Amino acid sequence: MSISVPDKVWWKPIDKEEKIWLFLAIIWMAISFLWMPIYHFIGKQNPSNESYRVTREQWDTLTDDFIKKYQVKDASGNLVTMNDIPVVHPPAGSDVYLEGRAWKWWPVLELEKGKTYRVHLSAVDFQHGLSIYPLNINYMALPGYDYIITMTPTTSGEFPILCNEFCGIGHHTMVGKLIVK
Amino acid sequence: MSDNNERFGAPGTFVLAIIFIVTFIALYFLNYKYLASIWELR
Amino acid sequence: MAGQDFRTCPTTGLKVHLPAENLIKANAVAAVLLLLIGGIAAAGVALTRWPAIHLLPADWFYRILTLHGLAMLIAWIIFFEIAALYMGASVLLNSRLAAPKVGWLAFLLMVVGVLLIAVMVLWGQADVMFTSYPPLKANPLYYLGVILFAVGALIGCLLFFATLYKARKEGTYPHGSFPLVTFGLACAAMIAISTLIHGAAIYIPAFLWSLGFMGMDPAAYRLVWWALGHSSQQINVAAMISVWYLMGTLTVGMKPINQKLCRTAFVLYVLFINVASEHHLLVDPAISNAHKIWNTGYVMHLAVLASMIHALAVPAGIEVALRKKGYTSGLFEWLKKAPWSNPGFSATALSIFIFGFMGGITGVTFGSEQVNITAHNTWRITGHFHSTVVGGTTLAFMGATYYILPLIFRREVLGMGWAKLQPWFYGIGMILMAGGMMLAGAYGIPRRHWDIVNFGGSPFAFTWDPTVYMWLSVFGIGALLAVVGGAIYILVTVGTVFFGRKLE
Ligand code: HEM
Ligand SMILES: [Cu+2]
Ligand SMILES: [Cu+2]
Repeated sequence: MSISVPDKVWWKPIDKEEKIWLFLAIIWMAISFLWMPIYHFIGKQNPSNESYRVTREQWDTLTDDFIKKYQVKDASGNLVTMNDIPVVHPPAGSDVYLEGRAWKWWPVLELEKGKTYRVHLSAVDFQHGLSIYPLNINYMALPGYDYIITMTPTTSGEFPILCNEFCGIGHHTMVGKLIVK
Repeated sequence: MSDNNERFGAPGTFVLAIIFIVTFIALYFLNYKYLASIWELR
Repeated sequence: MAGQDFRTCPTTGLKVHLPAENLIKANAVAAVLLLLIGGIAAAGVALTRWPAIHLLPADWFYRILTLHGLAMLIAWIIFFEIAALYMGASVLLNSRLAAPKVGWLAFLLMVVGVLLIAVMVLWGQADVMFTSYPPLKANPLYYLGVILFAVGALIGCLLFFATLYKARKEGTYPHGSFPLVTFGLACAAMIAISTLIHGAAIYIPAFLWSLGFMGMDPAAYRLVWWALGHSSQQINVAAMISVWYLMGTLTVGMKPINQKLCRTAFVLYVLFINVASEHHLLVDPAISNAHKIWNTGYVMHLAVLASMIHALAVPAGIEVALRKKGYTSGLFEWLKKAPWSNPGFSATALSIFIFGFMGGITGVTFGSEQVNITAHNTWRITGHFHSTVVGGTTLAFMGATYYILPLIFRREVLGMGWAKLQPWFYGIGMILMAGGMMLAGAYGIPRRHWDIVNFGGSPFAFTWDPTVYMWLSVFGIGALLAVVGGAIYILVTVGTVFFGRKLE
């Protein structure tokens, strides 16, 4: 019985079926574990290994410069915004900045298909959760950390970005946009 | 062969356990297949 | 030994220490009350997230969601576990509880802690979710409430070990090893002590931070908070599996097939499971990939191995016991003829199924380093843990209640007809609800989100793949069934405690 004291000697040999199960389970656990490092070599989707501490001032300077330099202009030379958020078209393969703030993703990025970008992700007030629909790509944006995700968009279109970490009462209004041309 | 070994005696459970591990392996790799369809990320 | 403080249980022949029995009752009653509160919150939250209804306004949704997480995951589960610990140490070993007064102190601290938490949350002073990630800040009294509750729980665990020591020293049970259930609970309590130490390591600084005495780094907070948050789930796993063994014995007279294997598996939990906490941080900055792999891979998979061992051992023990009763034809006669109309049995069987097939598989998969990119903070995660801690642990505890009522409260279960249906409502409801959540989450439906239809009027609002709405309906219907199941459970237990026929 499970609720009474076992026989004096309970360290007994294991039966054949149990041995088979134990063997299968250990093999599967080893494979499922080893698969993760292996996927770093053979897979094209791996979590980033690059992040730095960043102060609010450093981050603000970086993003302001970035937006000033690359904000899109229309035919008559006016700066383009989308719902009051600057639209930015950085050169292919460059460093790009994406900021979570209550309750916007800032700015709207325009990327090119098949080009590789270093996306710097951070937040300035609360923790935010980057979530790109419909790809279901999710990363945390934390204040004080510059999290660099090296990203190659392989499909084009307009991709809404949601926030999926609770960041205050307006959390559900926090939607942004990523455009891939 | 030694008879201090009591029979395991649960063939039904063994079959269920095999079904379980097969489902497990299938779902694990199915998720990686789905993952492989998104953008390249490092 | 059996002084006037003891009675002998007519069913099991165990000697029950009356002060221990009172403490078990108090903790169990508190657990059920908090399940009621958490369940009302669950109904509010679920009916808001189901777009067909969208019940609560935004501020109350987030507030009630915070309450739901705390009342369920912290209060209901831990009160019940403390009751189980006292039962495993005192009742199963015929022993007196080492120090009942200390047990009441622990109970008092936990009650005061919970009250403080609940008042702060409902008063709108802690709209921070149960994870309270900084820089979101709650009223200092909120953190204090959590600390008081945790100290109470810690005292309860220490009392458990003191009682084991006393029982062994006084020889209150036949000489030998502890019963398997007690052994499993001891492993749960060891994990609990390590968990609660991590709890102190994060809630005391958070309390001081909320008072303005120190700063708080968001990434460091997440790391230490999840050392608490993750390992507390392993208390639940170890306690749940102990309850599976207990229920196997109480419902069909099962014997563990191989004590060596079962006990080794429990030890694996203690050694490895509380280190796997970084699977909550796989898409966080500040931690290296190598560390993430080591922590979640090497160590977590050894703990999963332990679950795989129990996954065979518990049903196998049940099968052997049922075959002894003569259900031997074919592979599955035992399964067909099992006592499905005994709610203790059906709850246990459903718990094993939901925990293993739904919770276990998705836990390892979503917690693997790369797949997590497509799962983190989506509803896939919420679906996963409603399969483990609700379909698994909570349902197992509900099944155990149908035995605790006659054995400890000494009342005949009132409304047995309803009780027989209860695990099915709750279990099938949870299968649909958690399944719907995970499938909707696979499209990116986020967790903790008030408005996935209009996004509170955001100009960037967009529409989902229409399939999502089907999964949301599956979720909603499942949630309703589960709420009905939860309500039956509460009506039956409360009815029995007050009006059930007295036994003996
Ligand atoms: C009838 C039973 C239940 C229903 C209908 C239910 C429903 C829900 C729903 C709809 C959510 C919110 C999802 C979101 O917005 O992201 C949720 C969250 C949650 N539930 Fe439940 N639940 C039930 C029982 C339980 C139980 C018994 C537990 C714990 C033992 C539990 C623990 C949690 C936790 C920890 C969260 C996460 C809160 C957060 O994200 O901050 N639930 N539940
Ligand atoms: Cu946000
Ligand atoms: Cu948010």
